[in-house]
Formats: sequence, C-alpha cells, structure tokens
Amino acid sequence: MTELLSSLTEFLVAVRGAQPLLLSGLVKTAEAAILAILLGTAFGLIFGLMLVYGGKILRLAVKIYVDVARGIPGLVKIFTVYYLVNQLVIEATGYRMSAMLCGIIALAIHASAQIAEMTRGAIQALPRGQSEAGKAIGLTFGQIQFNVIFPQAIRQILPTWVTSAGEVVKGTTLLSLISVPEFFVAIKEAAAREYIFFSFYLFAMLVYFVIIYGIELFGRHLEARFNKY
Amino acid sequence: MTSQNRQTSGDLLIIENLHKSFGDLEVLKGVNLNVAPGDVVSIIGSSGSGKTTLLRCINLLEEFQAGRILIDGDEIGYRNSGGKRRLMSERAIARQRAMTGMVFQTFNLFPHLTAQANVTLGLRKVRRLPREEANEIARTWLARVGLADKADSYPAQLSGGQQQRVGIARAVAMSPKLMLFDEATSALDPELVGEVLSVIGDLANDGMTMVVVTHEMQFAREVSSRVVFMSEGLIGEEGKPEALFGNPKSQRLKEFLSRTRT
Amino acid sequence: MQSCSVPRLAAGILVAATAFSVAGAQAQQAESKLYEILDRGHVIVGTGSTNVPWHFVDDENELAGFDVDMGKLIAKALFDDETKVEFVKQAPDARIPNLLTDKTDITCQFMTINTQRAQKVEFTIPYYREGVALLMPKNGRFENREAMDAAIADGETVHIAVLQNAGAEDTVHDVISDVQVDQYEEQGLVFEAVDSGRADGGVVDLSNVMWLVKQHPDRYMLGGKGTLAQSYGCAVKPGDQIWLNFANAALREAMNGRTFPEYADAFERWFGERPPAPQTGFPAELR
Repeated sequence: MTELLSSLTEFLVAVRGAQPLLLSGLVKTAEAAILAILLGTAFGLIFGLMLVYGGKILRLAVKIYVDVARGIPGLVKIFTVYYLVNQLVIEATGYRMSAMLCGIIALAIHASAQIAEMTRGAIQALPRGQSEAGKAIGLTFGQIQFNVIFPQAIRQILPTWVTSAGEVVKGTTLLSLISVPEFFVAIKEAAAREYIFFSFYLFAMLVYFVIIYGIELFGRHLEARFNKY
Repeated sequence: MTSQNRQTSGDLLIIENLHKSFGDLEVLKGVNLNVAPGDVVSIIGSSGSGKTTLLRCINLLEEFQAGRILIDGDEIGYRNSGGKRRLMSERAIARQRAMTGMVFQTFNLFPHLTAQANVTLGLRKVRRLPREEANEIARTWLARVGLADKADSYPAQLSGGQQQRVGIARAVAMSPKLMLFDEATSALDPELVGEVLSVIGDLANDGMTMVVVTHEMQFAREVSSRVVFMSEGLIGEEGKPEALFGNPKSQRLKEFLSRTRT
Repeated sequence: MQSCSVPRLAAGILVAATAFSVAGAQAQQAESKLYEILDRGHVIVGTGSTNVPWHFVDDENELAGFDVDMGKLIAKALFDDETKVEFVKQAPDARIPNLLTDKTDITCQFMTINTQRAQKVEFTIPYYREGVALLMPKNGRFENREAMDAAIADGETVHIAVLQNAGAEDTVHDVISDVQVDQYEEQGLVFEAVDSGRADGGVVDLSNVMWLVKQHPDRYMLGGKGTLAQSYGCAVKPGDQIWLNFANAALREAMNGRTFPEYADAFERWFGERPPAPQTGFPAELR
C-alpha cells in the first residue's frame, strides 16, 4: 500500500514536471482534432449533398472519393498526404505544407467521407414530400436544405457524427508518425525521460477517454436539442 | 416578365396543350384548361388518369415537355430564349411557386416545427415578413381552421385531420392567387374527412380560386363551380357539377360514376 | 590578335560567362543540399524524442541527448553556431522517408548502419558503436550477476526482458545464456518489467544501461556487456556526395580533430565516460 502511494506520488511529481510538455501536446491534439472535425464536417455535408442532388458524373466522382477514403487505413492516408500529396503540391506551387496541416487534411478526409455517407443516408431517408412541401411554399433549394432537410437529417447524423469525431481524436495519435508533437508523443517523451511507462500510458488512456466521452456528452446534448419533436 | 409572356384573357389559370411523360410513358397528352378568378374546379377521374400529375405541373413539382401554363398572365417554369424552350432558374421557379398554394395528400408538415412555425416558415423566408407579423398571420389562419389552441403543438401531437388543417393554413397564409388540393382527404380516417372538407368549403365560399383533385364526389358536387373529368391523360368531359353528374355524356364518365357511387 | 593566346581567351570567356549569368552560377552551385542549407541559414536534422540518452525532451522542455548533440555539432560546422539547427521529431519508421522526400537534410537518430538501409540512404561515418548489456535492479532477486549465474547453474528459472524483434533471442544470449526470454513490444515495457520484478533483468542497449546506472546508481547496476557491436551513423539522401562529404568531415573532425572536445563532452555527458583523445602525428584512422 505504501509502495503504491509512493509510486503514485512519484508519478504525480513526474506529471507536474512534464506539465508544459503535456499541455503543449494536448493543445496540439485539440487543435488538430477540432480543425479536422470542422473541416471534415463541412466537406462531409457538402459531399453528402452532392451525393443526393448532384448530376451523374459528380455523384460518381464523390462516390469514388468516399469509397476510396473509407477503404484506405488511416495511417496510409496520413502518409499519402504527408509524403505524396505534399510532394506534388511542392512541385506544383512550391508551397510546403506543414506536418500538422498534412495530418489535419488526412484526418479531415477520413471524417468527410464518413459524414458524406451518413448525410446522404439521412437525407435520402426523409420522405420526398418534405422537400416538395418546402418547394410548394416557395422556398429555394438552399432554404429547403437549411430549414427543412438539415434540422431533420441531423437527428440521424448526430450519433454517427459523434463516432466520427471520436475516430478523429483517436486518429490524432497517428500524427506522431509524421512528427506532429501531439499529446501521445508528449506522453511518450515524458515516460521516456522519467522511465515511468505504465502510469503515463494509463494517464494517457484516461485523458483520451475524457475527451471522447466529452464529445459524446456534447453530441447527446445536441441530440436532446433536436429531439424536441 | 416580357410582354409576350403576358396574357390578358382574364382567366387566372390557363393551361394550353400540356404534354408530360415519365420516360416512355405519356401521362398528359395535351391538356387544355382555363380557370377564371373565383372558380372552384374539381378534377375527378380514376387513378392513373393524370389528374395528380396535372396538379403537380401547375406547381412545377413536375417538369413538362410541351405546352404552356400561365398563372395570372405569367408563363410558368419555362421561357423562350432564341427560339428554345428553357427551364427557368431555380430561384425564379421558387418565386413562381409562391403564387400557388399546395395541399398534399400526405400533409407533408415539417415534423420538427410547431404548427405555428410550419405556417410562418414561408412567411418569414419567402415573403420576408418580420417575426411578429408572421406570427400574427399564422395565428389568424390557425384560428380560421379551428386550431387556435394547437399553435405550439408539433405535428406528431396532432390527429390526421388537424395536421391537414395546418397544411391548409400553411398554404393559404402565403396569400396565393390559386390553391391546389391534391386528394387532401384520401389519407384520412373517414371520421376526420368532414372537418377538412368543411375548411376547404369555407375557403371556396370566401372566393378563393381553387383546383381540387378529389375522390369525394359529394364534395365535388356541392362545392365546385366546375367539374373536370380526366381520362387517359386528357380531359374527357367538363362542365357544371349538376350537368356532369346528372347527365354524363361519355361512356367512360358513366362507368366511372357508377363505380364511385356508393 | 596574334597576342591573344588560347588559354587567355578561355579565361576571358569564363569570366564573361560568370559576370553575365549569376543565375547560371547559382544553379550550378545549388546542385548540393550543402549550398541550399547555407542559403537557408539553418540545417534540418531528423531525430527522435522518446529515447534516453539519445534524443529526448529534458526538464527544460528542450530536445537533448547524444544524437541531438551530433546535430548541433553539424550546425556548428556549417554556421559556427550550434543553434542554427531545426530538429524534426520523427518516429524511427520515418527516418528514411523523411530523408527521401527532403523533409530533413540529415538524420541522426541512433540509426544502425546496415547494408539494407545503405541501399536506400547513404550513411556517414559512425559516431558511436553500440552493443547490448544486462540491466539489473539493485533491490531485485539477485544481488549481482554472480548470484544470477549461480542460480541459473542450480537450474532456477531466470526471466530476462527484451524488446521484441526477430533476433531477440540472440541478443539476449550475447549477454547471458540459459534464461527464459520474455519479449515486450516496447522498450518502455522492458524497463517496466525490470522495475516491477516481473523480470530479473533486461537486455537493452549498452548506452541505455550506462545512462540509467549513471542517473540512478541506487536503483540499477550493470550486469555485463555483450560482444556484438553495431555502428550508429547519420544518414543523408543518396546522390549528394558534396553534402555527404561535408557531414563526414564534420563528424570525423569531431572524433579525431580540432572539435574533439565538443564530441568528448557530449559523450561523457550521456555515457558517463570520456572517449580516448586523438593522437598527434600520423592520423591513426588511416592505419
């Protein structure tokens, strides 16, 4: 018991010493996750709309994008963007994307494909009469989407959106492989420096759980807001 | 709104030689129909005769391949440019749709909005009225259809008849020039049909111009100023209700009436 | 006209060409990464951040370790300023790809020189020779290596932890034989096994043992070294002899020449002992 306490104290002292390191890692993780979720959601909704309303060629193009993006493992996507796409961009424009940007793009691609697919499903699950009723009172396409379709589709999108957002957070741990100093790198750095491994990994698990659970609570809060009817 | 598109015959609705196909299937084969202001025209006919499609063309929920539709002198949906017939922009079509009000068989209320919000959506977004004014109009119309106390209810909390009355309020609140009813009572339980028909009847008595697709022969006979019998994509027979019901000329109409008479 | 000799004419044309085409001259020069780095004003060094004492984040949140000191040494050789260096923290898997895609100019990340890797990148001369050693806990089951050997001779089972890899068994047997080899997926878990007593010792890199014994003499001791050696070198993208030569010159002079004190200080800081100083006179590395 006293041994456990002393090792706990030792760990807490180590965490305290590593605080700036861990905090900057956490900030990077949050930054990457939030931007990837925002980008992924925005593009996912747009791609979803294209899947529902686009012409034949557009629909096919987006469908290929979605299938490819969903079929490629996360790490491969990250490497592809970081090593291949980045190189092509450099050759075309001379602009070198940062590792962070590459990581955010790769995560956003994954999220956008998931969200596009669920948006398509949610919109197509709505009765056709809904958009017709909107048309009948003179609403434009955009007004129908914002006032009639999205508020209803979002109820179906939200639970899966929460899953996608969680996947993005988990995916940020892969960014360490392209040199983004995210939270799990900070954990590994702190653990290596202090030679305390189990406790730091356990601590990381706890932090990730809190983040993902937080997203879930946020999702449930939104669901409750849209579930009034 | 060029002068060539403007007609001054005095009829509110003019349909000329309307052709509509779904793929290879021609559903409307050259329909002609005029409706004067204040007219209540009932369209009857067996299912598949094209009456619902005709109604949906008037509201541009369906595109059509040939012919013209004019509402209050404006050609609907298409314009001629360089001798070619072109569909108008989505925005222009939306503006034209606001001239007509549509009541659907399946109500199609917005389930995420209260009864009042269902009615105010078009007033706020299309007619761009301030919130207070829109609410005022919505409450007035909900009261007219007997639902003053249901303004804050969601559609799921209302009976079918109540939902359809909200649907009617939603359409008429926009002050359309023309109201379209697409089998407004077909999806209702029999005991709820009466309340909806009486609301439609009240509107007719107020002088609203209406085109009503219906299976309710009794209602068509009592409320209509004219009845149109559609058969196989064409208007088979039309006239005053007493003439059409009392003295049908064509064999088809006779058969149709004998089948529907209970 | 007659007085204008051919060599003088050639020299004149060369001067004119240089004067006319500064851009051409630069293009010629930019064929090596060396000039690109000098133009840029800092060198980009790939290294890790999670392995003490090679490359890790110290208490001041600065990257530190022997690899990091090698990077600083190269920066000093380039700019006479060891701060003109940007470290890219990378996972070991990213060492070669980042070089090949020009994300790093050079990688110094405890990279073992082997011929498979030498087919993809070019190695500098080695700057450290690594082996394996047995790390034993001070308050563990055995007082010292002799006690452990005696127990093994008596037929007792002794657990030795090692990082999982293809040659893990051989690695352990380089230091100690007739033991139960427990393989762990991560280096950290090897130490964890030693700390928790699940293993009686761990076979890890010699440098790790040296550092740990230096840092925590109350907790750890050296339980013997292995015999097999492997060389650590920096690596560069292949095909740039000018840059490779420069990196080699910087490292060679750090180990054998004027900059030896810097190399030796770093060596002592991380491994607890001072390497043998170079001798004057005949350059011994050519023997």
